[in-house]
Amino acid sequence: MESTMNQKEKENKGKEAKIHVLKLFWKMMTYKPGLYLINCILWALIHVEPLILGLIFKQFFNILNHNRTFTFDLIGIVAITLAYAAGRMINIYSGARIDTRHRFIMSALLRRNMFEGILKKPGASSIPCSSGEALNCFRDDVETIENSISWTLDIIGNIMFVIVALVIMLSINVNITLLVFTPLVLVVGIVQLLSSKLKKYRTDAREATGMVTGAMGEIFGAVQAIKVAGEEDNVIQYLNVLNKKRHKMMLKDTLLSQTLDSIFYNTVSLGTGFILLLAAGLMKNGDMTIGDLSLFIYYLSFISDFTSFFGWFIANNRQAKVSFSRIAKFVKNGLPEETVKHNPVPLNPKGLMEEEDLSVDTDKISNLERIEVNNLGYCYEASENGIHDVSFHMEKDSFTVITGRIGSGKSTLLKALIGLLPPQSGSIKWNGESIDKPEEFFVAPHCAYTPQIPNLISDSVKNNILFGLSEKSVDLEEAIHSAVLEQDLKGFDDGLDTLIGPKGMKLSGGQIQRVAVARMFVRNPQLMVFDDISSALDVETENKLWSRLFEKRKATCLVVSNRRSALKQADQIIVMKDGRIYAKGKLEDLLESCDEMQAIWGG
Amino acid sequence: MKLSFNKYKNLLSIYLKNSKWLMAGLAVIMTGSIIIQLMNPQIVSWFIDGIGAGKPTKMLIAAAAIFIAAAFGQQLLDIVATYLSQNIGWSTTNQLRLDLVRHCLGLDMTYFKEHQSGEIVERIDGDVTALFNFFSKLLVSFLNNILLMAGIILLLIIKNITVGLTFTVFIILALIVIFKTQGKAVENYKNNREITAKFYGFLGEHIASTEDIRANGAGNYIMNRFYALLQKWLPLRVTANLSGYKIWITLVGVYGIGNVMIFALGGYLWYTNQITIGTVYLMINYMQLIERPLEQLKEQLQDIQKASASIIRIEEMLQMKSKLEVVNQESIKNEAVSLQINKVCFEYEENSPVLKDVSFELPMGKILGILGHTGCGKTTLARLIVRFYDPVSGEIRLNNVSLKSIAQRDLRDIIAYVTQDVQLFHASVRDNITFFNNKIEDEVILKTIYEMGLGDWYENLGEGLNTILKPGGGMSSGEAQLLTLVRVFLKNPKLVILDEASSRLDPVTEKLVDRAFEKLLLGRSCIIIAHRLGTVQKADNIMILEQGRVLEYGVREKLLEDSQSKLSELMKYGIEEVLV
Repeated sequence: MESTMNQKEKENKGKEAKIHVLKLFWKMMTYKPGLYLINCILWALIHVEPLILGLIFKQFFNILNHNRTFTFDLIGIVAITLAYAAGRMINIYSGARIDTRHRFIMSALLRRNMFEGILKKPGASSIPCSSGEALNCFRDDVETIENSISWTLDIIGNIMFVIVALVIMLSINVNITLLVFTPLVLVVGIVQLLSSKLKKYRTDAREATGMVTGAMGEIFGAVQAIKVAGEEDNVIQYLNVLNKKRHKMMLKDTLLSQTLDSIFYNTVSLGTGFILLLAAGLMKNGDMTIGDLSLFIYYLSFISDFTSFFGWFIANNRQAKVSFSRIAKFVKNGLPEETVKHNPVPLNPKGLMEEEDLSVDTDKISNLERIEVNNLGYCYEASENGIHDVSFHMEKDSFTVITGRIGSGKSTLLKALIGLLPPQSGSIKWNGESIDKPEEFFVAPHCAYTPQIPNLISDSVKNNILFGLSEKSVDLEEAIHSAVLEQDLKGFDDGLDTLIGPKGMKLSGGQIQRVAVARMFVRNPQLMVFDDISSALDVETENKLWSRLFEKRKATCLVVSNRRSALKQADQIIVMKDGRIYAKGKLEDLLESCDEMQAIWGG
Repeated sequence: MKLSFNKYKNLLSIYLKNSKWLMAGLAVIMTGSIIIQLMNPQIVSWFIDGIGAGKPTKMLIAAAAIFIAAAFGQQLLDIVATYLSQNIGWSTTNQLRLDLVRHCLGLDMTYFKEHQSGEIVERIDGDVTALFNFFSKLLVSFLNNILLMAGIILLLIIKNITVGLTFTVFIILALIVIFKTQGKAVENYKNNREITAKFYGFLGEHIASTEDIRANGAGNYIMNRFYALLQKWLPLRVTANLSGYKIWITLVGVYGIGNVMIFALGGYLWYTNQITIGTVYLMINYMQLIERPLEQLKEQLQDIQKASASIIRIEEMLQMKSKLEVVNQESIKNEAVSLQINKVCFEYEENSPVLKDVSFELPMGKILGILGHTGCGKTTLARLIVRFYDPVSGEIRLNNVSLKSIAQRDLRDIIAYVTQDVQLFHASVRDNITFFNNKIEDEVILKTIYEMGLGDWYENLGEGLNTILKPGGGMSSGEAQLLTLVRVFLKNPKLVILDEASSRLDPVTEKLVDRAFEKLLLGRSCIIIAHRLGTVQKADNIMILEQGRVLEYGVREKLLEDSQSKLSELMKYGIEEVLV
């Protein structure tokens, strides 16, 4: 198993380097092809329309130049100009509406796929960075890609403009037209040269930004500890250092893009200068009119806008590549293709899924008889810590307690077993059958889990317990009773409907823990996994909880605990030390033979 | 608008004070750039008239060459201007970020109870970044555009008074129309930013709870909630974006009128022989030149709109005052402290009291054990003593000095509060221990670690104090707890509050830490909060809290002698637990 895992990882790393941005864009454009097409037509029109205005200018000068007396043609010009403006206003309004919707759908798809990817990863290592950085990816990187997609419309419109403009200009004067386009080639060349630098600066700037927001997130997460320590100033000093770094990186990034912009922008002045140089002779001879000159200069400004936009578009696409590589970290196997996968994004309430009905599933699963764990291993990347070579088995309805000092690997063992950490080595068997994807298998109704420090979400107590189950299909009251939560609920203003979290009621550590336990009970799992639930519970409450659990014990329990009350209940105790099983057996035997057990049991 | 302009002025005057010279440089560069921009159309106009007047080709070509050179010069100036404005922008907004973080850290805990950390970060960084555009772009471009328009009007008036005045009227009308279009944009942007912040708050919260979601198979449920939020967001974003586009649409109409104006006026003046065709071209050229400012003005208005939404929220944040009263301050110099609690009542929300009429006194150097069920108010009492909140009524005193009269800084030095909640920074072990206080020397930290008997643990760290802690990097919550304990040991406080401090430690480590605690508690006053009896064995006094009231308070030994006391009863229960 170990070797195949490594191979897979290597493959993924190989793929990470190769991101076909255009392919990914195509995939996004074809997500809502109809909407994209309408959007495209509207924006093409918006971009092509100025051609008409250029022709109007040309016609205006021609009329003026021909005779010095008033003609009705001038009124015609005025009327056409007014109609043009009105039509364009309507066009832009509809374009804006459609594009905003399309943009939203594009980023919603990416964010949806990223979020789902995070939820599907092993829970204890769901993101490879701080949550502040992850939020940055959700915000900025997705926005970059969203821009890229929306700008494809502008590119298409601009290309159409350039082609038509080219035809008109060539029909007036070939030499000048060619001269106008020379700077364009030059500009594209320069962009290519500078773009790798721009990419590097962009990445640095993003990273520096991520560090700042990440640190801010951590500061506000640890606000209590900081306040107690009275170290506000030092923490702010730390943030200041990160701020300065970001300042430096952002400055580099902006300056380079401004320089590029400047070069693009200069093409219009340069071009105008060239046109004047050549036109001097032609106009003196009468080979070129003032109307022609005005048309050239007018179109030139658009064509130069196009070159600048084109360069910008290319630069943004490079940036989008960086963004894709960053958001790919969150999806399945780190594959960029997964970020743009055509999954449904329901944008009206009808599209939402039904609540889950547990009773449907229970028949399908094989009832737990025995779980075998063989040579299970997991090693954290950042440190030497982890577990090695852990083997044991559990029988149906047995109570297994994992005990050991801190850092001995108790929690890691639980997490590796039920797939909250990605499997590295070893195997797990359920009724003799090998479980290849523990992260998919060890969920309700097979298994449920209460973490050592459970997290609740900002919602009602009831929704936190049900957590997506339909109320009808479960015995909510029983779960609450078993979790010793009924007294607490009576004290809450709205009982089960009390809102908790930052905007609602703040629960104590013990209450959070018992809500999490109720959340587990309500799922009625075959295997219940508790990670040291007693740390936030007082003795009386904990005793009540265990006794209520044993009263109706139908489930197999795997418990991390050092408490006597739990140890005494155990059918089997596993003593962990330095990431390995140090001893295994019944309490009485271990107390006699195992020094580590004696130390934990205490005097 | 008026309101927000005043607010800009306030912010500008505070935060731009230090950039005076940079701003002066910026002004010089901008003036140069504007002169070049105004000059170039004049060259083209002269060129056109020159052809009509039959000027020599050499002169025409020279004019074209000057045109090209001037264009290059202008671009160079723009790059320098960007450099300066970016520098100003980043230093000012970074200062503002720091000030906001500092301000937030100074708020009482009620604020943090009500706002998720992701939401606060989105406010501070997101809003300030929106403001950044305001600082860096608005200053350069806004003034640039205003001056450019003024210059155009001036030059046209010199050329032909009718043309100049018509342009003036046109620009004024255009600006009025554009400003009128702003309408409800501020509100729309605010709504959009609010739901955006809510969305990231949601993401942050759920990314932190993946373990819970995953292990309970609630993925689909959470995805549903995610979609529901998107559904709320979409219409708000469309409305907000459309109010941005409104200005562009208005501008298209304005240009249309402008062109009609040129066609009519230019034609009339040409037919009546009042201007040359070069001047007609100049009108068109200048009309195009003010298109850019008007169009940028549009973007700047959008930035202003975004910024005013942000500014309103930043102002709201800055105006939020800590609910903790500050009175004239006294300092506490004594070596040890005593604690007096007098008739303290407290509630987080109205009408749900958490502490009811709690009174007791802790003499100097004594250890108080507080026992009680979860939710009885133990932790709240501790939070009041470290002054995260002030009591609703009653008073807390240290050495008979009211907490309100003790400087926050002194209070932090006097009291150490250790809880079971531990949050780690993505930083080195050293920084996690010292909270980035680099004045604390490594030797002192190491000495403390070894004194605490944590040598083994320390030696297992990959790179000693430099080991960087990563989220999900395999540090157990017990180990994380140890870090906070080291922090407290370094601080040398006079009153120590241990709130279930060792509950996450295994018995072996707990014993180690206990020994260290004994050293720490020597000569200090201490409060130990526990729901386990074993934890308070060292206590001199015992208090039992039940539903926010003091059920029993007294010297531990005396309480134990009294067989009627609740403590004796509990002890029996505790012993029973051992015997079962």
